[in-house]
Amino acid sequence: MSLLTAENLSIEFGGLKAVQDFNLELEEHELLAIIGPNGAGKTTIFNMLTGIYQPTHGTVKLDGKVMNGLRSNVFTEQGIARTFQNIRLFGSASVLENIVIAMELQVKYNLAQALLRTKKFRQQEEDFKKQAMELLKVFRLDDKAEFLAKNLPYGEQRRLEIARALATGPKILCLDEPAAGMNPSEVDDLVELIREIREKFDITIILIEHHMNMVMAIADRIKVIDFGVTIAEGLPAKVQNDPKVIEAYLGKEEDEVC
Amino acid sequence: MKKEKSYVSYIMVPVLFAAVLIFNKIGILNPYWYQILQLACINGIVAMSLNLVNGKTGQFSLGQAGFMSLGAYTSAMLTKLVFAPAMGNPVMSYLLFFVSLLCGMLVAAFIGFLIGIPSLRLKGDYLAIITLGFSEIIRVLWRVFPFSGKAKGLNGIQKLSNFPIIFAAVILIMVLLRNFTNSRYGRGCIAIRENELAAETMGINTTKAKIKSFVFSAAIAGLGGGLYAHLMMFINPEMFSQVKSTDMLLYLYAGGVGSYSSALLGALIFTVLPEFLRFMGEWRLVIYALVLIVIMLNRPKGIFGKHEFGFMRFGEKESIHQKADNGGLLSVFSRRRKKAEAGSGEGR
Repeated sequence: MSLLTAENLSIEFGGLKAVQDFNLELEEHELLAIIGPNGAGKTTIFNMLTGIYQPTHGTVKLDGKVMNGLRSNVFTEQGIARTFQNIRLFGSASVLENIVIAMELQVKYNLAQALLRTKKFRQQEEDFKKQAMELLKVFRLDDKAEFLAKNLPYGEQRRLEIARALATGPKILCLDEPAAGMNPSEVDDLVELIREIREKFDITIILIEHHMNMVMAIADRIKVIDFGVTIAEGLPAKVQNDPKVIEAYLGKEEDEVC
Repeated sequence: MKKEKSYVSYIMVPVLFAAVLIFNKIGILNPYWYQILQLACINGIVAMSLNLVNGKTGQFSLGQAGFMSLGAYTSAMLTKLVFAPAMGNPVMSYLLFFVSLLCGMLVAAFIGFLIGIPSLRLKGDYLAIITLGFSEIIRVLWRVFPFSGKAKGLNGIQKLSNFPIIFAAVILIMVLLRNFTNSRYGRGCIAIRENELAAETMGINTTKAKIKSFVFSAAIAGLGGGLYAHLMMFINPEMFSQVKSTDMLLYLYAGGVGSYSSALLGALIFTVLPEFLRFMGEWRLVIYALVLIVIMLNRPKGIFGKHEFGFMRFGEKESIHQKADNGGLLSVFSRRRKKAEAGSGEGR
């Protein structure tokens, strides 16, 4: 059974059909890339898959459970975590706190135990801090644990966002343009990091990206979206040579007049 | 990681308490100022409760006086009308006083819960208006009900609040707020303040988290109201008008929004300041307002910024990054000192 299923997912904003009949069967340990020109509806798909938007038609199934109409924190509980295209960190909180906040789902104490600071509470909090430091080590942010998130340089903010998403303990990680605004060497680092994450956390990844060389390097499967419609799907090599994809990205070659 | 701890603020608690009591005994602190100080502490409690909603959760509530009045009326009616015959000896009367304070808190929390459910869907200005509306409704209801004395209010309330009780309440509330803020609940609030959408996708049920902080804040304001009623020995609906809510906001923002310590200090300073200025007669309010304007222009983050007492951080030192973000007077001093050191370094 597939981990995440989307059936005929469509969303309309007023008269605009932003996404039409998006179908997806995500297998475990897969890395799926969704590509497409600007405004094609990629992020909208992510927003539907993580419960931020409610689809007008169609269903999302996570682990066999129909998720329509549920809040996005329930989606996270079911094992899907995401990053954002425009970074949304908890800016005034420290790097460590950002990670610990995302461990909300592992919390086992209740309000009374928190107010009285019982032994159980203190042990769990200590444990969270330790786990968070270990996670930061993987992302090479452990020496900056006390920095405020908003004071980190851009590339590290992106890394922190991925780390924070992983702290929720997801089965599926959705990365929304993780390489946006990065220079080629930073992109190479990111490719390495994503490979490392896949091995270490044994995780399924959906990726939205514009950097073609990055997508070609790491994706197992690619879906191409244009104007909300899936126009091609398959292995990177196959998609790369698809005439429809070339047309969407580069435009159509005009027939010469005369 | 090396951890230095400082316990200065832990020691300050009993020292301050003893100092106030001794000053009062030997007459340096006359009854008038003693009363003002108690009032300031109560304002501090309510300002701290407001900080939980406005400072930590990033929601803008304008209705704190409404919750205060709920606590004040509930506890006052209990001690005056229900428990009065049973209050023979001091032990009994204080015990019943605590029970009525607790009831006041519970009523405020319950009404806070009812108000919170519809209101907290809104944000910013809209939430401010709706909380303002609810607090006005509560105030007007006290004017309508016969058992709350209508517009005349309740008088002849026993004086059961005294400095030790109020001081203990301040410390208790600080401890509770500290523990709340340093757990998943407070972290959830901070996440909502920083980015609500991201908080939600990190698995936090933002609606529940907001309601929890709102209800907790309402309960604390209710306690403040109960203490207030038994300090003033007289309450009427006009005491809990919009002016009171605005005063609380003023204490919070002038002290430094985002920090409980700043809220408390802000309340202490700005309750005492107008009394200090009393010799100026009518001019004192002008001066008071001017002081506020000057503070807000020069220290937009408040006098003390986001600085917290060591006591609120379990004695742990703030990181330099946090300190740099605090704002307020302290950071200015440390920056100046650093600049001076750097300057003398170049001179050599």
